Amino acid sequence: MLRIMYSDLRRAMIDRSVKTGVLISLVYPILLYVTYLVIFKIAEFDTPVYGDELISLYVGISAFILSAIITGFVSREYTDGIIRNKIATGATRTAVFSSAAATSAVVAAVLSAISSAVIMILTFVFTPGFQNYSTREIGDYLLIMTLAEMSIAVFAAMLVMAFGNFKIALALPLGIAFLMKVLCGIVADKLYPQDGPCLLTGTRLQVYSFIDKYIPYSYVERPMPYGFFTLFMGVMGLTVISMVVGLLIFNKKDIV
Amino acid sequence: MEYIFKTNNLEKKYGNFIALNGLNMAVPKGAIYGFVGKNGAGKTTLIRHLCGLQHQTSGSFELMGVKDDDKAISKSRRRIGAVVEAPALYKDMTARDNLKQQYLTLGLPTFDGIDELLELVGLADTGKKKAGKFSLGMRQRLGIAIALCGNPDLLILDEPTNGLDPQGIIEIRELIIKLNKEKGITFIISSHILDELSRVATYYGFIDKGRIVKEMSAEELEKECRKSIRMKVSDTKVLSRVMDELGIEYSIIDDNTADIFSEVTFSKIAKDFEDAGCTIFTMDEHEESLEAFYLSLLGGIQNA
Repeated sequence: MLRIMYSDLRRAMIDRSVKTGVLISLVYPILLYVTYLVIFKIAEFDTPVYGDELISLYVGISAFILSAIITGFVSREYTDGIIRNKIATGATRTAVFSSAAATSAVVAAVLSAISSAVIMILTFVFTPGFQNYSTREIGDYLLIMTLAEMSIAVFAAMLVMAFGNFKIALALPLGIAFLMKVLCGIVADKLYPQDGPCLLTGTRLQVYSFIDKYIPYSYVERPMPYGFFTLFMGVMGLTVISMVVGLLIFNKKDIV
Repeated sequence: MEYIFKTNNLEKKYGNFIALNGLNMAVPKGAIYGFVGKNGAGKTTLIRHLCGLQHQTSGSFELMGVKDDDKAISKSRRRIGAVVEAPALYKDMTARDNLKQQYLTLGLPTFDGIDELLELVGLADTGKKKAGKFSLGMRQRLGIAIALCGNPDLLILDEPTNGLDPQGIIEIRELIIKLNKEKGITFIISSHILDELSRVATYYGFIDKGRIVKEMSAEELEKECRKSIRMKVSDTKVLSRVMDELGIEYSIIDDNTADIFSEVTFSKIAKDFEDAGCTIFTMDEHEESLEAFYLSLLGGIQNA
């Protein structure tokens, strides 16, 4: 598997989708920071922009960016016949699938690292720093968000690898990211209403809480609502489910 | 004869459609196996099974002596190269980088041999040009170079001349013959362009409706398709007697038709037949083309 992953990583370095992702993770935080400055100036706020505002800039859109990039990156393996070639020349399907998932996770980690680095530079060079977060909290947050983004990338890779014969597979990761954004928004509104207490009870409360705690798509909505271990369980859950379901389908499917 | 690939009643169904219908074929080691059949006959489906891209509904196959349900089949596949449908290329990489990528995928320890491969397929001078900008012929040749990485024993080419211009077709043909002769590589070449295939193949498998209709060597096929004089006579039994006496090779088609495989003097033959009490109705020069032979095979199946 490692030899295939090495060749996949080599390809990721020159892939158009991945390059676009790198560009977005570099530029997007800067653009939003500038937008914040302009808004603060126009609204004549007398407080400066703090790092607290910047830290979740990339995370908020990361599910969409990753879904699009991983779809482009992995689906090209299908359209260019690369997957066919790997299997025809003796690579096992398990190795091919695992390598695609692992490479997608690495791409997600790199994009997350780039955006985090840009945000940290902006924070420490242009703002007074963080107002409400300790260094440890920031470290935990960046780590768990990176892991959440990696698990979302693995999930997107699984969808494309498992259903890559169908054109619909190309829309699935982005479609699911969009649906999860809407769902997680609704869940957050119900669990943490802005005016008054949460009115959910019974099974509904349990289901909403489960989504909030264990679905990594909800993590990228707001900073660290639960402890590190709870969030880590969600990340691992999505990754393991993606790998198991993906391998079951990919090992059985006809590749045309 | 040693076989590199053998199938045993291979069957593949898609719902009610039977793509492979108890297919039995055997590819001799060292052959250029022309896999002939019209579109939809099952050629690509069979190749996909060989390459591990599809799973059969029933039946089995052996690749280099390893059965398809044996875990070692993946190791056997490392000794094959394949261009299935379109060449598998990284379009945003150069020809050299594409080969490096294949070397890495195969786990080869060094990049030695890449220059030789590029030279072999005539792509040594492509420099920094990306594979996505290559012509169809160049892509096909790069696909073959990729398939040749790691010195495979078996090369599978699915419709290798599809979409190529005449020059490209000649280049691919010469490359196949060269690799077969110099490196002893066995080829399975699927095609529905019989004339093109007949210039390279040393062995043939004719497929129709998911079944192998006939397998034969190029010599056997040549014998079937060679020039003859087709005679229509009143009685082929008498014709047999006359031809045996004259020592002329012949083959009886039906009660009144026979092919004879020799230059004959018409007046002499006519006299001999008259003496034997047999009338000659017509005598025509006859040459069965590969296409006609293939169609007669299909006719045989359809009439069976």
